[in-house]
Amino acid sequence: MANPDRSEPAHGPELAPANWGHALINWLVPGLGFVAIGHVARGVTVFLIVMVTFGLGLVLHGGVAWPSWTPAAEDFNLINNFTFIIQTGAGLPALASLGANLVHWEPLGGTPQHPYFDLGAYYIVVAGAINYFAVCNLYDRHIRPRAAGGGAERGGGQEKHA
Amino acid sequence: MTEMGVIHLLSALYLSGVICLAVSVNENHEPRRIARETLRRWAKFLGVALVIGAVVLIAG
Repeated sequence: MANPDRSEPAHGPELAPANWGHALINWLVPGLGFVAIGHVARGVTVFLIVMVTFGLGLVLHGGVAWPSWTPAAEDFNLINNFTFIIQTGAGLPALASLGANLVHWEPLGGTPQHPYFDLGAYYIVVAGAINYFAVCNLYDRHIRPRAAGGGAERGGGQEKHA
Repeated sequence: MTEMGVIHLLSALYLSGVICLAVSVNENHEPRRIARETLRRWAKFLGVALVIGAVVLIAG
């Protein structure tokens, strides 16, 4: 039975049809997928949340570091691998940080020797996780219903309205 | 309290708040409802964190 609090609103802005391309651009540029389908406020909010958190991570000398993927290697660490995967959720900023880390450009790639590096890296994990959630939200509300033949959504699908 | 301690404490406040905001933004559309649910979640989170901190302090 549908929860009345989560029911689809009777009216709302007309949204552009969403597809996997929107999910991809929402991953690369946080919030842009929402902006592209017409959820401008939500997209801008997601962008600000992710970028401010990511930026604070950089201020704390954090960065995205390439982990060792070989279990036989001495520096292999499962936590580092999971951390890396979630950090890349932040999209282009995370990829830029990874590139900077590989060429040892500390302002963007982080300073592993700095006492705040781990805390900064954790901020980037949170930024990546928030963007992963946003991409999953875009898929659940706008891509999957369309793929299942539900047609275009209006006003944000299953969002709660006061 | 050391500078490291202050930064970690402020980080806990900021990161818990921003996670609550992200969840509320994903679930709702109305700005007022987003604000209300963010504050409710944040207060709950900080309350639980305080209880855990107190238990650890007493037990330690």
